[in-house]
Amino acid sequence: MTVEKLAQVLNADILTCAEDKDKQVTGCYVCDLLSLAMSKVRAGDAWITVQTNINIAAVAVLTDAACVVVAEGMHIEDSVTAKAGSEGVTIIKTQMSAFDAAMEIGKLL
Amino acid sequence: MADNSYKLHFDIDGEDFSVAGEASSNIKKVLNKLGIPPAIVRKVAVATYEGEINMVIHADGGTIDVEITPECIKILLKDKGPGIKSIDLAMQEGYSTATAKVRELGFGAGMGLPNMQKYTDYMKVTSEVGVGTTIEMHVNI
Repeated sequence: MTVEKLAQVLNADILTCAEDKDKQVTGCYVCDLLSLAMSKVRAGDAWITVQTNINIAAVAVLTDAACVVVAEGMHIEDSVTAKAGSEGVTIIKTQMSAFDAAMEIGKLL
Repeated sequence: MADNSYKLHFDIDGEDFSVAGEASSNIKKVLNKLGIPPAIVRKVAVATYEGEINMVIHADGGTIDVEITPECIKILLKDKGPGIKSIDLAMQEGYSTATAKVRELGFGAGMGLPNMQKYTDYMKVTSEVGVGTTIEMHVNI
């Protein structure tokens, strides 16, 4: 599944790196604890979180996540999207809960 | 062997979460360019990121030195922070002295040092209260 397809399914906005919308999503991980995400997100995962601080960009870069899915429509500061964009991290934002988003992703994997 | 090694040095800013992870990200890029297997790069990335975050949270910054040889990646973390009172306690998963503010950011779960140990083949923590902490880690290639 591509990031673009994922964004459609989750009715999500692509906030950064829209040019990478053909990137493949091959898995999913849900967690808001960055240390846990850091060790558990696999390359190609859609990482679902409600964390929106600047460190989500670093975790996504270091784990090679396909994209960060910000759930519950959480507010994201421009500085965070700017940083993520410069690091090549795709962030999409959905109004769904983490559970609902994971359920939708699970159907397509 | 010395001729066969590649060295990197980074100064880490304390208290600046906005740049936390940049050194680890740079280390990762270099390892990828050198053709180090992704599984090894992953281990180094987790270990250096946790170290970097610890320096920002607890020690007002520090330094990271990385030496890459054909057999091993050696990482040396040094800070002049408050030191660790009990290394045994700090190594226990779940033990943390992080502030509420740090926890709100998704850190401070007491997983830093345990993760570093889990993802490296050798780790030695040396610390003196009031002087600082030095951590040496090796990841075999």
